Amino acid sequence: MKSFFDRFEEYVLVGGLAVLVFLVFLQVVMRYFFQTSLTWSEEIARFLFLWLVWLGAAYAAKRQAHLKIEAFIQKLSSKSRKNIDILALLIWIAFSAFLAWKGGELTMILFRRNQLSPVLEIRMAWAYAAVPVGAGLMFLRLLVQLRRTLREKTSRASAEVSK
Amino acid sequence: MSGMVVLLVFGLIAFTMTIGVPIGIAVGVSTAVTMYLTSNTPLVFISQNAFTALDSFPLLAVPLFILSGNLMSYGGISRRLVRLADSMVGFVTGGLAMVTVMACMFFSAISGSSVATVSGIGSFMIPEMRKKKYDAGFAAALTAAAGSLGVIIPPSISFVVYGVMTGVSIGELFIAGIIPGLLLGFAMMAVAYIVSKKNDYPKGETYPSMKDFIASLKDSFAAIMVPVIILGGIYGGIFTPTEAAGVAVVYSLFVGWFVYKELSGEKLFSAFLETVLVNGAVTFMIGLSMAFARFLTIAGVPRFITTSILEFTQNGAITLLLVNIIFLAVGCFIDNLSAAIILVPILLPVVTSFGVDPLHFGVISTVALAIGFITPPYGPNLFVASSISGVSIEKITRKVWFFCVVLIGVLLLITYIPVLSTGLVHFVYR
Repeated sequence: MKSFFDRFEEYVLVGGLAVLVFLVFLQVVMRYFFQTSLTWSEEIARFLFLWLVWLGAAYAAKRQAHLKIEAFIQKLSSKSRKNIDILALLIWIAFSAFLAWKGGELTMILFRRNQLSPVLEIRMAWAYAAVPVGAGLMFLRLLVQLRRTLREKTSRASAEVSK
Repeated sequence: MSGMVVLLVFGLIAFTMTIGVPIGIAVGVSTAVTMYLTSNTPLVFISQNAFTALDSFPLLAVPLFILSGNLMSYGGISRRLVRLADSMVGFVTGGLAMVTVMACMFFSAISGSSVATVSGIGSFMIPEMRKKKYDAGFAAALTAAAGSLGVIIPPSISFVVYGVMTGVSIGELFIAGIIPGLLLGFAMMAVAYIVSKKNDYPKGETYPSMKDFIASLKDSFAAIMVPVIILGGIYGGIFTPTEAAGVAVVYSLFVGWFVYKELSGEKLFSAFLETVLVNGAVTFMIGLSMAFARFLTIAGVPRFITTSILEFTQNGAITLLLVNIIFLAVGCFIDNLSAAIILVPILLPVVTSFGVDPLHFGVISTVALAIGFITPPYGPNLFVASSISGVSIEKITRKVWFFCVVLIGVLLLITYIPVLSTGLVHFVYR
């Protein structure tokens, strides 16, 4: 079940990218061969891209693919390295919670105002929701990572004691 | 006031980055905290920019160019490009080294990323060079250095991001990168030649024959067409850079699947998955750093920095030197896109006040930050070259400094001779 959930995320992202490629290509084909320019394809592609970015950012958190500077923390002893790692993780967690909260606030405002997108007249809230949803998922991923880091720390500490 | 904002925001960024908070997050946190403490802008500002800065059609070219490069690597293009390069320069002293640089130049014209170039070409060429008794550190360092061309020779993800941030035409940036890219490539070939001569590295075994050249050209023809389609399509006004990237994806899929028959469902999935992963790790930063840049502008920071520099020097040449030093220093620690996203909005107003063309500055910043790919401690190309060759980072670093010096030399040429970047653009467009 868990592995299905894990794969599910990958399928959604890969499928989304495939649709994005299709839309952009379709737009060229329609204009070049059929002399009609699509306007809706560009709008959907843009919103899809936003979802790909923020869901992708959460996925990258899970895969630990985010770019960070490691030159300094590498020089620390493994014990203080652990503490610094936890501090960095806590800052990251706080920020993703903040972004999910403020993004959610904005999405709700747009939802209530019923603001619509220019071409397709989709509720803009659906597009803006990419930010709070992505940040929220990132928050959850990071909590799991924090728990793992803390557990590693205590197990290592107790291993040292028992020695 | 501005001075305090500068101190606070950059202090926070430096602190959070140093302890290992991801770069984009570090920028976001620092902006949020500084904004909260020094202004009464509502914090929703940040989440709003996290959306609006990314709601841009040109930016879609980023994942699409990453994807087309991945498809090319998986689809058997690299080997063919190496063969083509071999038939052209393999006979020279240090032939394999020449072939490596040349193949990286070809690959750069297909892929928009440096790391992809290093792994695409390096996984063939580093083992080949070691077989012929080239120094392992040199072989890996050469590939790492030549790989940095990936973001300079168009198409280039760096140029897409720079264009989106500054409003400079992405098509013009692509053209502006051509001559600097070639210059850097030839400079690296010169280094390869000198080192090979000194160490008596062998020439290629076969002399070039027209027959060989034509055979390999035929074999790699489908791959060589990619830059023709991309650049030709953009300049011919047939499509925008984003659409060109979309066409490049479909084309490389077609070539890999039907012409070279080296793609499979599984490889396709990996190519897509790698793309969403890299896109997720990199692109969201643009949203957060746009909040950062806009907040700094509201707080008057670019003006503050410009006046501070003006107090220090009124000389445009010295300012450009200073800016290059900042790029090179920052490039030692963070990757090129993050660095550009943070620094360009601050530094562009500074250099334009000295009359520097934003187009020219796009090339300067991209080349300067591309050198960061091979400067330790954080040099992505060094890591990739090390992991595909098994040579330690230390060993590669000992051989890479010579390339750094030469690349910096070319950077200065590009900085002080604007026509190298803008000349071709004026020729094509105006």
